[in-house]
Amino acid sequence: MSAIGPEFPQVLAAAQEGAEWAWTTLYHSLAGQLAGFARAKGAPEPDDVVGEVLHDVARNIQSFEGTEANFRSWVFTIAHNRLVDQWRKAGKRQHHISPPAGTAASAEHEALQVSTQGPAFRALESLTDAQRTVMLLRTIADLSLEQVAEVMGTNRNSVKALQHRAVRQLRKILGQPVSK
Amino acid sequence: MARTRKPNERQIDAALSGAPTPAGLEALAGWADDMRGLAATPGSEVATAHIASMTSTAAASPGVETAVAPASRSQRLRKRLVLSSLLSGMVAKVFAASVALATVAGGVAATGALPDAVQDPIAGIYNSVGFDFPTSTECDSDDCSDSEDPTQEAPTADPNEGDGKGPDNTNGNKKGPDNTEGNKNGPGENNPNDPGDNNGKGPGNNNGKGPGNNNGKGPGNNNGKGPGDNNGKGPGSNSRQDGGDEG
Repeated sequence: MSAIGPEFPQVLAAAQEGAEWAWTTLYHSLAGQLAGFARAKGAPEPDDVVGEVLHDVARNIQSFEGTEANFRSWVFTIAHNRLVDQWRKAGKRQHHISPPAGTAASAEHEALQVSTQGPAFRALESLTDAQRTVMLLRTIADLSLEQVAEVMGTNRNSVKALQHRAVRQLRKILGQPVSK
Repeated sequence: MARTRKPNERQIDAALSGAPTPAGLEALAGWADDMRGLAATPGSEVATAHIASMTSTAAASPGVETAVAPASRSQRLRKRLVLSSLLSGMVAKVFAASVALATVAGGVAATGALPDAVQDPIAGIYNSVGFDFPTSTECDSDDCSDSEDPTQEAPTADPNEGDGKGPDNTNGNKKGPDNTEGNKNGPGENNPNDPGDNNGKGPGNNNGKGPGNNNGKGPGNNNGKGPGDNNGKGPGSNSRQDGGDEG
């Protein structure tokens, strides 16, 4: 799950042609972060969310133009909108973090299952939905404030304000001194 | 609890991204590391299926799509609603303009005053639905400008009765400066007891004899009762015999 870098234009062009190697590259650069984002947002089946989001990406890849940063913003916009729609349909508030599905009994999944019970997730649950989205996109998706604003359909100042309040709350919950 | 300086944006960026963390933000940096720990690529079987699906979808997708991220269902629905309301507004305006044009054309055609090339088609249209518009062959004399029909209510002898014979309906307004007096004269005309009689004189209301009035059958007029006033049969009419001018 790392940025593709200078080879992104070639990978994109090949993906638009339907080249499997290009899609494999894109998948491995995005799938983990998408799964983590969906998991932290409480999606019951994070892997399914990954498949659905990347299916949408593949369906519309032909006309995409832009840098890798644009591409990542686009992908997480799709993910964010899909998760919002899912939760609206379910009539639920996004505050329950889903543990990883036990489809593969790997050490990694076991570690994930343990960590979802820890203080980090209790701190995450103390945030509002918007604050949580900002912080997850900043950390898991590694997006900038501008990219997060694009994903959430708002402006940079709003995202910055949300981040500020979220950081303040997290530091308070995590026991660190908070400036007044 | 000691007060600390508020971290600036750059320090927060460093703490969240895993870069060397400024003092006082260690817990925040640890929390960010825990969040990144959630990022786990799906198992190999699932990943293989995903990649195969993406590859085939990309190869089969059409060449022209929007480059913007697909909108959510609610966003698509909002766009459809906005588009449909805009279209319905435009359609309504076009329809209203067409009705207005038909009213004017019909009114002039009722007098036979249109050019032959136009009079015949318009007369044909109106005649097909029960009106009696003169055609160009029937309007060779000046009589065609007199839309008076002997089968209709007898107009008053006094041209100042304002029975609306003229195309401009001003005749109907000659009874008095405010037209209200015109309602007091003439059988069947300006009869204050006529329901909703709009002085019988104004445009579109001349006992069915002026523009917009064709024996009360013209557009917006029935029995010369005025626009919207059709013995209680049209919009805004009250059909009550309470007279009164609604002009």
